Amino acid sequence: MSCEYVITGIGIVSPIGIGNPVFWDALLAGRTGIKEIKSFNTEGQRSRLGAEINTDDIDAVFSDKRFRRAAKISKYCLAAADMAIKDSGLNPSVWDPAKTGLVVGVTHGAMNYTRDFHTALIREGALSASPMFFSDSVLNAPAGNASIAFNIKGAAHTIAGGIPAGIDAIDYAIRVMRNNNLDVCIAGGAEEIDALVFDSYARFGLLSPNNRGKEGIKPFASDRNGFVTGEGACMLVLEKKEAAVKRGAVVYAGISDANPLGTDFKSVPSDDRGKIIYAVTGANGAGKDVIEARILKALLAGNNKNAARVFVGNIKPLTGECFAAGSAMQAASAAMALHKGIIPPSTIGEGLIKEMDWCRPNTKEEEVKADMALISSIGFEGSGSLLVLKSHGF
Amino acid sequence: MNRRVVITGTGLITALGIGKKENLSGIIEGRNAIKEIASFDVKSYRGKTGGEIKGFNFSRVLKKLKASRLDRATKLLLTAADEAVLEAGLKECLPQDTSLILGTTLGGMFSGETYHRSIVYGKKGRPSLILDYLAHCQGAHLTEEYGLNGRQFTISNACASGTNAIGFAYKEIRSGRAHTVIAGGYDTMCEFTFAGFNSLQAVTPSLCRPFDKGRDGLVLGEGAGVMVLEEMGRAEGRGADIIAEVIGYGESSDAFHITRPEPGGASAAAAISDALEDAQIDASRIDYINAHGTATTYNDAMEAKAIQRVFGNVSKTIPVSSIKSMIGHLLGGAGAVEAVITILAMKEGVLPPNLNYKTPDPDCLLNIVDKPGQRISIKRAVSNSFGFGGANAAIVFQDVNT
Repeated sequence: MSCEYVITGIGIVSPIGIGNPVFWDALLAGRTGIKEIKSFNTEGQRSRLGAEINTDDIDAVFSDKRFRRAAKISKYCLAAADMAIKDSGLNPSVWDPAKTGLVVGVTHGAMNYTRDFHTALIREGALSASPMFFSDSVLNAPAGNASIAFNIKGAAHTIAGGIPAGIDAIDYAIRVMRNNNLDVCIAGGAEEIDALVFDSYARFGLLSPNNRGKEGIKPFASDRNGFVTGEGACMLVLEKKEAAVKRGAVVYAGISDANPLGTDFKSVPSDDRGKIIYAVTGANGAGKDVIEARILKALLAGNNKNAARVFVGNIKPLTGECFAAGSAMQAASAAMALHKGIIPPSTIGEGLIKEMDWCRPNTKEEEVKADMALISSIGFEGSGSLLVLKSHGF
Repeated sequence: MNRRVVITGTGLITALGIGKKENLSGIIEGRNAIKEIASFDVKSYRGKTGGEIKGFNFSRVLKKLKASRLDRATKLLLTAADEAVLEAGLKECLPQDTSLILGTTLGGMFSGETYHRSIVYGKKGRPSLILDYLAHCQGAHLTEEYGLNGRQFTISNACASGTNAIGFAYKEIRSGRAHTVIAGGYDTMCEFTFAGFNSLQAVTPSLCRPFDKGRDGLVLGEGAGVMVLEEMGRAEGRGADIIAEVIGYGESSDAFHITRPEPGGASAAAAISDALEDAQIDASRIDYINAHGTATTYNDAMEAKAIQRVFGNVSKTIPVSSIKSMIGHLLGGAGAVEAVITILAMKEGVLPPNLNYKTPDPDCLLNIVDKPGQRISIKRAVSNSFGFGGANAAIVFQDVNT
């Protein structure tokens, strides 16, 4: 299987660290970013935990006064895109803006501004609603801001989706690169924590601990009790492989040309299924773990002679459920694992559901030159996506 | 090898009516569907009018969904999609791997507003409304009801979303990555957005007058436009009636300002000229331009400059109109609804009028269609869409009999 497009830059704003080296170290150390929520009061809630970003940390990484009043989600997206571009060695002041694109996956968007705008409208009436909150509340504000910050004129798209929106954005970006003959595309996802969203997921019974036990994410576990909410952004620089190799760029991984449609793994060539050695799963201990497990079992344990060697990871016990940003972080962690030849210790523990009976989580980091990696993600409404990445060294 | 992409079905719901027939008669007559807003109290707003859909009772029999649980946006979307799929002759035989590419700005804002209002008033709203609020859930509902498993994307590029969705669908079929796509856009009339555009001083206190010297703002509308796009060989093979062909698409991003367009129109012009280049036709062969024409000072002057840049001298003669003067601005639905209306106009051989155009603006010197009912052969038409965040898109349609 060939890859026409590759990942040459990774920028991450996550609850376990800002910048891909810190993120990677946290994955190896199994360091969690889940703590007591500070940005709003959780009194009266059964759930107290979240995986938050300290906005002061963002200002230290990316500061541009044009965006000082932008929503948190935009700031995360801007910082992640900036780090990804720097990591790739590309320079926005010299690239051809018409040949550069941007795709940002979002789930809830700028919820804090959206809620503040609407609260003022309800409580104080029409004339109190702030135009600043409104213009930055639209779903494509992060992409609009980032296109301005990095001089991106080829295309700037926002993909609205559930948890898989981050990897959907990557898939969509490859399609847009082909359609518009772009040289470079920055793609990923962004999300911000919000009190209203937290409250509704809690009342919906999706937040841990929804029934019993200790609060936290236990992917695929029989005694899982919901998810813990997170936030952040993860942006990747995508380039044509030929151009990346020519300019001597560091290539993290290639994006398989035959990516599955949704969760239809049958569209992954059967030869390739046997080469998937690492799966970074999206299960979050809430709604759809069983559905995801069934898909993974059929794909990875079914006719895969290497099934016993498949490593199954999950970053959510560390990062929390970062929605669109989270699935993009999964892709970043898989790309780094392929590039470094190291698989971080799995966070998947004991007492797994029977659909995961084939899975033997690695408790320590392993040196493995994996050929291919799979990213899986299923949203609450049942929509799901898979993404296949290929090692560049093979 | 590039495949040809045809439209085999279209569906429409706007303030002019439910279904294409009502909309077409409205366009021929130049009927103004903009009235005082009835669904919420507008007395404290600068603008008071909008293009609301009246008399819409969603009585469709649902196989998998519960009507009482659907957001208004989903109902509009399903209504337009049903009409398009029926016309395409695919009601009983829609391929399961049909892709779904939608554009929206607000998604289920109605559900979001309802939920949040109940919380602010100290009541307990239905928490699953948070899922209905999310912008991809209307598409997910359609996928579920139709039993589809093809690729699905919801594009939210503000007011360019609908054109982006159809353009992306066209490119996917042309390159062979999809064979049948349901593509379109939708948005509902919500107080949230109405208050937002009012706060930006973007809503007119009088009439929506695109390209007129006295224009002073937009009017919001609601609705959905959907089309079925197919690879031509496949459509012909199953004996489908071909309505029109998509022959070109272009897009760009201003990288200028989050709400204001780049005033010189260079980036918007790049999208239009990319669409013409993609269609491999000269600008002089375009018979009609369906403008974005929001009737804000900034947009229309920018759009006129962009059209002049691309069309040069021909820009003085090509008929241009913005149907937002009749139905309002449908945001994420605008591009899709305008695409369907452009195709209806092409089939009918009539120019959609630009209502309320009285005084030419030296900044917008274009051949504005100022009267309804003008008959003309439209072989090729361009539809423009521009949005917040600097999103620009243009698409070229061609009559099948050319």
